[in-house]
Amino acid sequence: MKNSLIIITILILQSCSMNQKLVKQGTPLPLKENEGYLGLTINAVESLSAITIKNTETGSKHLIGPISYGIHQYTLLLTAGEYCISRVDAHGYHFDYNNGGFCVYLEEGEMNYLGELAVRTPLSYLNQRFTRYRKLMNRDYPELCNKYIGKGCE
Amino acid sequence: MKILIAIFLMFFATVLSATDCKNENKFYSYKAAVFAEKKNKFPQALNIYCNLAYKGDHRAQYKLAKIYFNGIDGVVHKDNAIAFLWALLSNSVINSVKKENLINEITAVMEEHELELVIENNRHILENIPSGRRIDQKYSDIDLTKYLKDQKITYTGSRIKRKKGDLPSNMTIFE
Repeated sequence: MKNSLIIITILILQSCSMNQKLVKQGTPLPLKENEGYLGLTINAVESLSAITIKNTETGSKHLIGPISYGIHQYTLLLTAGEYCISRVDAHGYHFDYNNGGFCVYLEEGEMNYLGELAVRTPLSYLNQRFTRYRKLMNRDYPELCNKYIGKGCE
Repeated sequence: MKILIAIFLMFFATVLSATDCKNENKFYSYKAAVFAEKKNKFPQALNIYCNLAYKGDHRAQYKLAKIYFNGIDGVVHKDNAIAFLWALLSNSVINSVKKENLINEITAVMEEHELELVIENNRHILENIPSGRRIDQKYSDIDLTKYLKDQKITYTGSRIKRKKGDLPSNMTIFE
């Protein structure tokens, strides 16, 4: 009885973690076939534990975090498809955006800029702040910025 | 001679009116247009791109520029002037190397005075059609006044506690 309980617990934990991938920090790798970059800035007034980006076609989840307060750019390498910001976890509360969240169709071989997610309570919203994203991207990944964006990068 | 010049100017003055979209009652996202294009359903793809491009979707504007630059047999005639305008619009807010390359390709096959005329005579179009948006979803408006009126807010120190589960799901603002 005790053993079967342990096995069930392990299986539950495995199924929870199987489809979730923590996005690693650092310069994104070069694109392979059927891959594209997703670019966004997160504007938070308090620190967040994670932001979940979900592929609506495969159900796979990508976690960004922890995120300190302020404005940060994130450039993620993902397979082509439709992605939505599905959840924001702050310390002590969370928002689910399952009903028509912030979505983007990510095209392969491209830099797909999503926008700037301003995380606020009770409403979070998405702004177009490309100039800011470009500036931050140029600071963090100048080579990538030059290759895909061009003007405005070093 | 004057008549010829007038016809030439009129042609470029109405250049974008050649990109007429059929009004769609149903909303189709950018993804739908990409899928239609992949399935070789070019008239449908073109119409969705067109509707989205006028609403400011920079990706759809780029696709239209490419379509008009290359032409599609039986669907769209090649038109460098229209291609140039959509390419300029597409690159105006969210720029990229890919868009810049297309602009260079188009300008390479056009005379300098042609380019100047297209810009001069379509300045109102360039200034009035938005760009820099991504239209991936149809959003419904959130009635904030109703939401705020219905909320019972309890102040506990510096924190505001709200009922779980009734937070508005999303809001998107584009400038």
